[in-house]
Amino acid sequence: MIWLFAIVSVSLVAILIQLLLVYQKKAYDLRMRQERIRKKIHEHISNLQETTKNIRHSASEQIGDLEAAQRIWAERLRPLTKELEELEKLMPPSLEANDEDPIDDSSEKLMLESDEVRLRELLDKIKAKQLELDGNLSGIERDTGLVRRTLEQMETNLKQVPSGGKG
Amino acid sequence: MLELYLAISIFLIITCLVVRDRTAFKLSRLRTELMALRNEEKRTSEVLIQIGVLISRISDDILRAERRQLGLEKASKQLSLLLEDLTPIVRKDEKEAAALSAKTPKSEDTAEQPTAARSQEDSGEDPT
Repeated sequence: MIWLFAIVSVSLVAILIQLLLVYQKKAYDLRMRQERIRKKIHEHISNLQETTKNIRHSASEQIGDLEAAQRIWAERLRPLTKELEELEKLMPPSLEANDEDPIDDSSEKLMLESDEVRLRELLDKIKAKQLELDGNLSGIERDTGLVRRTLEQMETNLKQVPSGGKG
Repeated sequence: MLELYLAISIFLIITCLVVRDRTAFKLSRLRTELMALRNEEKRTSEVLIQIGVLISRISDDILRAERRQLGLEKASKQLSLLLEDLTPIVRKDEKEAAALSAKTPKSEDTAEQPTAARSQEDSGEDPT
């Protein structure tokens, strides 16, 4: 009977040691896996910080440059627009409207007509260019606004990033 | 003696159960932590992808704005050239129009003169 109890006791001790060893091994495995994931998270976070820092810096610099350029161009365009308006006022009325003009000389009339056609063409070209310039100016404004909004969105996304695991 | 062995056996069995429970609890906690870390890693990589998309969008917008700026420069040069072309023509036209308007009343006067003379001739009066 004593032998039986002795064997049972020894087996229980062996089971206890075995249990402890198995659990320690499992815990070690789990900790190792956690460590690997933590490392990955830290890499992601440092990557994020690096790229966002760079893009934030360069984007804000470029936005500043673009806005300054836009202001300068808008100021430069103002006198040109004014000049164009003045020229438009100076433009002679269309010949078609003045059919009752006492210009009998057909060659003179033709010359005047060709001059007017040239003038109209030039004016049309200028108006088209002015439209292009206005479009570009408003486009720059729109693009810089978009960049600002995207930067804000990026900041919001960055706030959602976890701290990188504890421990 | 037998009681002692029995007591030892019971103690060992209880110890085994306690150790098993405690370590099982610790292991489950470690597993939960691992799951949370996995989720965190997934979220971080998603944010990284989103940030990448946003960065490419920012670069695109900046590139577009720079292209617009170049276009602005080009168009403004062309506009000034066109205005330079237009200004003398309009000024010349203006002068011509002024000259023409100055000339037109005279021609009307000269056109009226013969008719006046003719009417005077018809009435038999001497124009002088």
